[in-house]
Amino acid sequence: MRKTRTFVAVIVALLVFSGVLAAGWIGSNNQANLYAGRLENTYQKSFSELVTNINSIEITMSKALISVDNEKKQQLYQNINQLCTLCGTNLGNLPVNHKSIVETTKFINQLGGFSYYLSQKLKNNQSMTDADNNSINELYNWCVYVQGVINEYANNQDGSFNILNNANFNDTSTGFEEMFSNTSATGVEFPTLIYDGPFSDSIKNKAVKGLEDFEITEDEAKQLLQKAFADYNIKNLTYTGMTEGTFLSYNLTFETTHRTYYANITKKGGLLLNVSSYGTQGTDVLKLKDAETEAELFAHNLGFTDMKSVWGTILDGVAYVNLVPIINNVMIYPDMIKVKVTLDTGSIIGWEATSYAYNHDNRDDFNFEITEANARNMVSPELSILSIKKCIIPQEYGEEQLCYEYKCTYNNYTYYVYISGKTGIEIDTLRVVKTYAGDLLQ
Amino acid sequence: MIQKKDNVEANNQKFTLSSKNNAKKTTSKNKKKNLAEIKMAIKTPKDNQTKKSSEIGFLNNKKNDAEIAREKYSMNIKSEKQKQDEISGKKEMNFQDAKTHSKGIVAILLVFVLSVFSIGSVIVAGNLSNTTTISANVNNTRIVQAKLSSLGYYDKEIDGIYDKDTIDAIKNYQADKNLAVTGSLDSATTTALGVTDNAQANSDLYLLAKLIYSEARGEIYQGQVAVGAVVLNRVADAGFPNTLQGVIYQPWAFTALHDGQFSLEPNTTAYNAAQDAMNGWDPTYGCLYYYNPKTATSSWIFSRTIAVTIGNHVFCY
Repeated sequence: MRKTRTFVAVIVALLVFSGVLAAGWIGSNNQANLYAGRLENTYQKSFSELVTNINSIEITMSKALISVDNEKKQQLYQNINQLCTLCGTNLGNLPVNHKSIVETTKFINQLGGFSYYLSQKLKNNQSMTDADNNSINELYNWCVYVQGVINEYANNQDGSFNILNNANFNDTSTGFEEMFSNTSATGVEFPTLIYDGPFSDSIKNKAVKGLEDFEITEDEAKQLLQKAFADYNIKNLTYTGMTEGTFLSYNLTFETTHRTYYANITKKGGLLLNVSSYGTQGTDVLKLKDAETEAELFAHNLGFTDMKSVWGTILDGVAYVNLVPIINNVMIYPDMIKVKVTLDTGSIIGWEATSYAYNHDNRDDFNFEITEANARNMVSPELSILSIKKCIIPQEYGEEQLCYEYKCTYNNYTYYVYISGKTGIEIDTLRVVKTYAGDLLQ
Repeated sequence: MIQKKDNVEANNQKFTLSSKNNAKKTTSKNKKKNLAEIKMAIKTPKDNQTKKSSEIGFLNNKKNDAEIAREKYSMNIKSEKQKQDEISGKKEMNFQDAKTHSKGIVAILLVFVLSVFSIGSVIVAGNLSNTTTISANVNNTRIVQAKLSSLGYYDKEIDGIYDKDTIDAIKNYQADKNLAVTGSLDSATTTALGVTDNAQANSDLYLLAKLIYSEARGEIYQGQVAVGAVVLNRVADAGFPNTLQGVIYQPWAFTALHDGQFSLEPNTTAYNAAQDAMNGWDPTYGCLYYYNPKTATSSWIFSRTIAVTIGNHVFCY
């Protein structure tokens, strides 16, 4: 009798358990469906906008191709650039595996970048070259193909079309993924685009000019590091492998009393390319000026005797110092080396010389064709000029410009205005932005 | 931030109160239970110990409850065997015991079911609501803590939490600088500290630090900087979205955004690594991908050109 009652009790409990579990499952499932529906809506919006935008790009491109008026063309290429930005955002929002979407994304971004370059060129009253026309024609053919694939897919979908159901990271054969894979299978080779604009292939294939023409061994790399950090009482200096790619370099690690350091030294030219470290530090004792002196001394010991600090900011007890060579009173910004110095003991805890490795060269053109007095006329009279310096600045797409640098203030903000020393036109303006993370130039 | 502080304090207060109430309830419940059991129990040499223990405290009481229950159970079995042919009143007693026993099983099972359901619901709700909120305040407080730390005013963990230690440090700093001693980060204080707010820059840093922490917190420092650099390399590459946010939130791009780890708050190491990456440090020299060869399953990723291995991650183009 007792066993029977116990048995009944257990059965009742199990039934209750199952009921509660089912209720819980239904509740959570409803909520999951609700979220899935909302997510699906955002995916549908992105895909729908993508179709609209790619169609608009094709139409705008075709108009630009037949237009003979440079002002109209400039406007059309500017529109294409804007549409590409929107398309890129749509693509980035869709749940598609990167390998399926990478070529389409690249196409959209490069088309946008190239269109921007053409619009700027036309705006400056320059004509499009044959190479420009060939490239834009090839890009148009790509656009027509991509548009066709996306439209065909979109037109074949009915009311049950669900992007979320097609999203599967491990399966690229779903219709949605497959469609994007097809957009990159044009069979036409994508044009190599060399232009002074965003996503130019020339940036990716940038030449390395700053490494000297000899090679060092692993032991010599270690010796270089020991010399650089001679006063740091370093221990456990170990070779951990090579970094391949643009800069074939030795990876080394060592320790000091409070830190672990990681360093890269190039095989070619034996350049200390990168140092990063992590550890503890004490209370700030030094000022930014002291840190700048420490950074310059460290660089001088490594043979960079013409390097001077041109910018410094402090964050979390660490000074970030930018060093550049100063030759004939001209600051060579493209050869910049960035150094991190602690404010407790003045230790060097970071070093970054990639820009130097890429750009350093024996420059000899310091000929300013515009006088400083004439260049100053290009600076707004509203600005109060604090200092004037000569410099070479890197341009966004690999070029360099000989400039006058005007440090100015206006409305409590500090600006750096760069006027070309060759043509007298304004090349760039940067504003100092104070943030919690130190001072930034934007 | 004051709002946040108030919430924290209110929550703490609430927690303290409810904890106290629970403790109170549990203690009185245990006391009653102990008294009843002590009354019911047949005198044994352990009685004195039980009484003594019950006076010691809540934790010891729990242990003694179990002992008492064991004794009670063995006593019941004994009495059943010895008094099988006794009067029905006694049998009725046994029946009552059995009934109590069945009710106990049901009660235990119900508690178990409800516990499982509650835990399950919490897990499900947790997974469903595992969305990420971006709070620049956490980052700003962290940077102010770091600043105060480097000036010798704050010696606790730099965690971005605007707690009493942080407020005390701010107050001390304000007092030393002849500012209004409020403990809050007013404009006079932030200006004196040399920090001003810039939502975009701070948000970018915070976002990158979160990504680094969620993807590579177990890696060596250089490996964390490298992960940050890969994100920034993607922003500059045509094959990826053109903004930091676009790259980080790109579907399927980072595991941490899919398994919920992205909601974790980054630590100081991750912040430093993010800062270095944003300042141009790139130990990968332009890599766009990384993977852990022990766990990666995509054959496509294995086809990429490897540049360097840092810690557990292989970085490639």
